[in-house]
Amino acid sequence: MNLPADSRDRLYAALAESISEAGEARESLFLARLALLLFESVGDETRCRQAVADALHELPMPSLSAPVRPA
Amino acid sequence: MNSSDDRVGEFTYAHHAVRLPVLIDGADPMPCRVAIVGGGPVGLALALGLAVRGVPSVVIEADDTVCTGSRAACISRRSLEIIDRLSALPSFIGKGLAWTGGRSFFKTQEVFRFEMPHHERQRLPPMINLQQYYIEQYLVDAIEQLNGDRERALIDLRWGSAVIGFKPREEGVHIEVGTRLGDYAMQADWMVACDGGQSLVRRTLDLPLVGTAYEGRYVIIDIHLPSSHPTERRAWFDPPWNPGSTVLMHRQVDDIWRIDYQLRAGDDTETALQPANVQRFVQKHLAAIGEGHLPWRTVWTSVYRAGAMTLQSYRHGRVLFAGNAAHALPIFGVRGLNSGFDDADNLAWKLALVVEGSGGESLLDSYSEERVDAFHINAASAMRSTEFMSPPSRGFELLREAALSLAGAHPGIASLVNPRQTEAVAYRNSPLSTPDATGLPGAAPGVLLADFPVEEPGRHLTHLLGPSFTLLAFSPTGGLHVAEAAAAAATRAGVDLDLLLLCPPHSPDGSGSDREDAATGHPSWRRVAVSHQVFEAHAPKGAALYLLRPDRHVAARWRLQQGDSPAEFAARLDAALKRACGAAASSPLTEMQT
Repeated sequence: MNLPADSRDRLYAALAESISEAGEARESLFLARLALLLFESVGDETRCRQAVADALHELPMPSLSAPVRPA
Repeated sequence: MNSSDDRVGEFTYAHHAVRLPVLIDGADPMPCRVAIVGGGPVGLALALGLAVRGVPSVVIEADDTVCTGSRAACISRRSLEIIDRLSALPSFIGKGLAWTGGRSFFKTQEVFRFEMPHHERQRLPPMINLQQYYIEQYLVDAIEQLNGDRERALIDLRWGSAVIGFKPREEGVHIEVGTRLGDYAMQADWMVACDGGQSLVRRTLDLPLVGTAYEGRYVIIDIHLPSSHPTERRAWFDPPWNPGSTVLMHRQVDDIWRIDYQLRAGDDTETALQPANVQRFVQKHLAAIGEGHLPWRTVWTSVYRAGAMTLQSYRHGRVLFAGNAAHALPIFGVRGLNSGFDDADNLAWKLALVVEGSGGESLLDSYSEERVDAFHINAASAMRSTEFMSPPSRGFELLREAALSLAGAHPGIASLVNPRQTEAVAYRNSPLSTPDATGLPGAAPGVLLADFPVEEPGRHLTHLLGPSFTLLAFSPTGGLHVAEAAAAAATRAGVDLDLLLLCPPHSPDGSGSDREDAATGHPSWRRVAVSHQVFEAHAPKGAALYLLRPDRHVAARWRLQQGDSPAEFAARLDAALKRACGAAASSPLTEMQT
C-alpha cells in the first residue's frame, strides 16, 4: 500500500497544522491519540509493531524541533 | 484495621474458645494426615475439599474469629462453582449481591460500559459481592454442619492457635503450636501453608517471591451508606473532585460500600488514612456523585500496593503452599482470592488421592505446575489492568489518557479501558492431560468444561457431578456400545469414576432411539438429556466422550465410531485415568520437578 506522493504531501501538512494547533502542552497526548487511532485503522499487529519499532530506531535528541526554553 | 466492634452491619463476630487437644508429654498424639496453616478462605475451602472426599484435617488459625474488613469482596462464577461443591453455596447466593458489569468515567463523562459473559440460562451469576468476613463465616458454618455430631470432627478447626515453628521431615512435618493456654507439638503427614501474604511458613523456609512489584498504592475505605445505587463496578479516572487519581466504588451487603482510590506519587499513606482526611475525601466523592446528602460513617480502612509475585514452586517436599502464601496478584480484576479458591480446588482432590494412596505424589507436583502456570496467566491479565489503573511509567500515563479521551467515541479503543475481570484459567500444559486427537470444538484437555443446562427444570451439569472423576458420554443416538466396557474400567480403576450418559432431548430414556446395545441400561450409567446446542458445542459429529477431573477440567476426550472396539476404548480410558492420577512418570515436566 503505497501512499500517492500528493496524498503524502497533504497529510504531512495536515498533521503539521494539527500539531501546531494542539500546542506544545498537548503535543504528546495528541500524537498518542493519533497512534491509537491509526492502530485501529491499520488493524494489523505486525505492521503496527514495525511502525512503533521504526519510530524508536535511532530516535535523535530533538535539535531542529527542540522546544524553545526561556534563557 | 480500625474496627474492633463485634458487629459490622448485620454481621456479628463469633469468638471461639481456644482448645488444647489431649496432650501426652506436650504433644498431640493423634495422627494428623493434613495440617492446614491458616483458617482464611483458602485454608477453610481446602479443609472442606478434603473432607467431602473423606480426608480429615486440622486447621490451625491464629485468630479466634473471622477477618476484619471487606478485603477480598468479589467472588467469581468459577469460585461459586467451587463453593457449591463444598456444600456452602446457598448462603453465598442468599446473601451476596450478584452483578454483571460496570462503567468507567473519564473526568465526568461515561466512556466505557462492560458486561461480563452471562446469559439467562446460566446457573450462577458471573460475580457476587460479599465481604470476606461473610465468606469465612459461611465456610466455617459449612464445616460445623459437616462435622455435625461426629465423635471426632472431620475438620478440627483450632482457633486461637498459631504455628510458632515447624520442621519438615522426610515422612511428614513436625509442627509447634502456640496458644494462650500453652504450647504443644504435633505431627502431620502433609502441611499446607494457607497463611496469607505474610506467610510465616514461607518466611521460615526462606522462599522468595519473584515477579513485579508496582509503586502504585491504593487506599481502601469501607463506609456504611444507605444508597440505593445498583450493584455494579464504577471507576472514575481523573475525576475533577480528586484530580490525577483513580477511584473505584463497589456495593457490598448490609449497605456497606467500598471505595478504593489511588494515592498520587508523593501522597503519604499515614496522612491519607487519618480520619479527617478520609472524611474529607469521602464527603467530596459522595457529593460529586449526587449522594452527599446521605448519612455515612467509616467502617474499615486499609492500604493496598499492587504486585504480581509468586513462589517458583508450590510444593516443597511435604509442605505445600496455596493462596496468598503462594502468590500475590494485583487487586484489579479480582484474581486474588478467586485464584486462591482455584488453588484449594486443584489441591484438594489431588492431596486426597495421595493421602488415600490411590494417586502418585507427582500429582502434587502437577498441582504446583498447573497453578504456577495459572499464576502467570492471571498475572498477565492483572498486569494489563494494573498498568491501566496505576500506570507504572510516563508512557503508560500518556497512552492511558489518550485511550480514555478517545474511548467515548471509539469502541475499539474503549476496550482498553475494560477492567478484565477474572475468568477460568486453562491448564494447557498439564502433565495429567492426555493429548487430544479429536479436533472437537469446546473444552480441550486442560480446559475447564463450562457448565451447561440439562433437560430437567432448573438443573445444570454441575448439579450432577460428584467429587470424583466423571466420564461424560455424548450420544446422539441415546445408545453407547462401549458402556459396559467403560463401566468395567471404572470398577477396576483405583479411583471413583462416575458415568454420565448425555442423550438428545427426544430420548431421555432411550425410547425411540438405537437400543441395540443393552449396555446403555447398565446400572452404573446415569442418563440425562441435553439440548442440541449442548451437543453442537461438545460433540457435533457423532458420539464423543470427555473424561473430567474432579475439578471439572478435561483430562482426556475421544470421538467414538460404532465400529470401535470396546476393549480398545477401555484401555484408552484406563491409560487416561492413570495419567490423570499422576502415573505419567514419562512426562518431562514431572521429571524436572523430581
